[in-house]
Amino acid sequence: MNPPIPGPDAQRPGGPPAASSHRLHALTLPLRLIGHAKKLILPGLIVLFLAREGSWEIYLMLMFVPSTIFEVLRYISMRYRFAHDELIVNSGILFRNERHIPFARIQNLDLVQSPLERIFKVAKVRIETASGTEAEATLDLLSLEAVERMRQNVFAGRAETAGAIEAPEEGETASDVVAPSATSAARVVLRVPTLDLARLGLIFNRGWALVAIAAGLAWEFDLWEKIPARDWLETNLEELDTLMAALFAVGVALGGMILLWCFSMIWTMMRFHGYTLERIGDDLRVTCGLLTRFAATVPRHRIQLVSVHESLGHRLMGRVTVRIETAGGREKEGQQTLSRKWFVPIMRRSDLPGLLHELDDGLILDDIEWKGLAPKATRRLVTKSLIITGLVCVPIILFLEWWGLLALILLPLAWWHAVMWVRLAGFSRTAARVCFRSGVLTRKTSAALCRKIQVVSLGANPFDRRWKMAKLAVDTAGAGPADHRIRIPFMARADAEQLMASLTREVEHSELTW
Amino acid sequence: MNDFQPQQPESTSPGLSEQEPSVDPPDWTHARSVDTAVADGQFHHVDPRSVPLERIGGWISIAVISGGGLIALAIMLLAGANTLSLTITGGAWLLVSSLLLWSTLVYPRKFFERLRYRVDEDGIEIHKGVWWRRIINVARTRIQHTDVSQGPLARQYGIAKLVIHTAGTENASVELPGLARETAMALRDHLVARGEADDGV
Repeated sequence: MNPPIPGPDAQRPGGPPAASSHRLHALTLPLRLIGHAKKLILPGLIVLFLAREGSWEIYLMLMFVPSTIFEVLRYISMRYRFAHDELIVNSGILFRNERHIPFARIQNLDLVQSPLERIFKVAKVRIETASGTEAEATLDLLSLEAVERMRQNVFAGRAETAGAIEAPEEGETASDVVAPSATSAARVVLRVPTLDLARLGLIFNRGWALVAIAAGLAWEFDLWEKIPARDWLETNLEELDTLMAALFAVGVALGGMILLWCFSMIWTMMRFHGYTLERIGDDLRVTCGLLTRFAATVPRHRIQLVSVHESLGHRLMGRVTVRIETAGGREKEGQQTLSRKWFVPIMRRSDLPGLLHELDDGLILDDIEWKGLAPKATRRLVTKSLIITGLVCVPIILFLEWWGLLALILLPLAWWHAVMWVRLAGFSRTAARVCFRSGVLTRKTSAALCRKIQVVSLGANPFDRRWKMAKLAVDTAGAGPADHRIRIPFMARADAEQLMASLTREVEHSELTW
Repeated sequence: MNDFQPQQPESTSPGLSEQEPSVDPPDWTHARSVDTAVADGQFHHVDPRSVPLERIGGWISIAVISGGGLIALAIMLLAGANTLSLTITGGAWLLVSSLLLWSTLVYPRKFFERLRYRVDEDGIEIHKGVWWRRIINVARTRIQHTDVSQGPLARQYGIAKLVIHTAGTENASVELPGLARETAMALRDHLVARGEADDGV
């Protein structure tokens, strides 16, 4: 029988005395409860004002009680302490869990601070290692001094980059970096001005999320009947003739779009305000946020894939977005999004080579020799696109009859898109990397280090076999956040086999280093 | 199907899914002797007994699904459903049953005929798939850990599945089904055995 896991304060028999274990910060409970209450306030107000009598939504407010109990229990039971080369976190009351995280294995140390937490100088800390889908340890809340101590312990535990002492984390101003020890200094790589963030809001219109929420609320609470001006609108609309009604509709739609865009720009500006990317030794540190402050650390050698995205909007404004993938952790909103999907939310195209060099020495994505796809690839993709578009047009025509014929304009558009896609797609194998670019309107270019490639695979469906083509897929760890995989379709079979053999040789002779 | 390794049938050893507190010595030495023979860089097919095994699984599915569908149809008939719904349900039942029948009678042989693998000092290469034909290459340096698993039926036949886990996303686990249990164990030993230390920082 295994002995029960000792409580957090028990000493290991026969070993050195355990370092004193620390509790979470004293303000954890009240701040967490306030956080829960905040999440329930908005729905509560909505329910209060809009719900009918005796509807069940009111009882959702009772959710507050069990979450309070849960928070108290969690606070009581969670402790952490530093052993000489690992962090030990004890949690749980009924099912006690003791988790040992070696410092050398810690990949990311991310912080999130809500405005209230910033006032009290505490933060939520997420510790990630290479494995697993969730963070290995989420400590909320810790005081900033405790975070600083943790950072020192973690980075001291990493033998290679000796003595890189981090600066204390943010206060009200952006990136106050205190000069650390002589071996490695924090160096600002990139700052994103607020105006660029406004541009980002224009490009990635997040207003649609608001529309979805509003539509959901309207459906749930039958808001349509409650609009006070409804009767007035209906009577007036009937008096307008078709042209005026059409103009009115267009005006409303345009007004709505502009409103959504404004909302999106404001959201982006607040979310990424004061974005700063610094390089400290071998680590890249990102900080941003106006109300809620985020800080994420990504060691350079953990980067698996770098992806550069340019949509039409990006190209018009001469900007790009850079996404990266690191091992461990699944995509979720919040700080993980920051350290991967929105690693560099927006930057000038001309600054890109400098940034790429900071991410990985010698990484260049301009001026490389792109190899194209198989010669017959255009024909295949055009055929496929036309068939799919045709299938889509059929129900439209059946439904809308004569107006449906307008949908036929999709066919030449699909043809153009397919031709351009094949023309612009390309792959390249340099000494240490494999790169792939694709896309017509939104152009995505990704580069994966051969050292980081996990599995190489080749696939061919019957059409591929007929045309002597194949699709090569390169699998890396933690794929997903970059929204672009290195999967090269319509390659000439000989090219695909050659690339696969060369990549496999490279992978076989390189040890995997996280 | 003419260049596969002659396998020793293993019907007396316990199944893998139970706890094996200690391994009997004869099992291990036998597996080791197959080790060098397997890692020869030649293509091998998997154990031919995997085909009847798949078929049995298929028949069971047919019994359950088509049988259940028949019962449902009979109930509908007795309850006096109209002809249209009967025709639709009957048509669906026919479609599903013929698919299941095809996947039991025709597909297993095709799949296992196409399935082959090659192991050498550096890694394993697996060819699989009938319609969508894939070649999957896993280097030894990228293998995180391996599983050898057997379902209850497979235990009777001595067939096991080798699952190779990597740090990838799409190919986080690569499966090689239909191996004789010993070959699976020998492959596992060969692929995981490494002289160097770990792969973490």
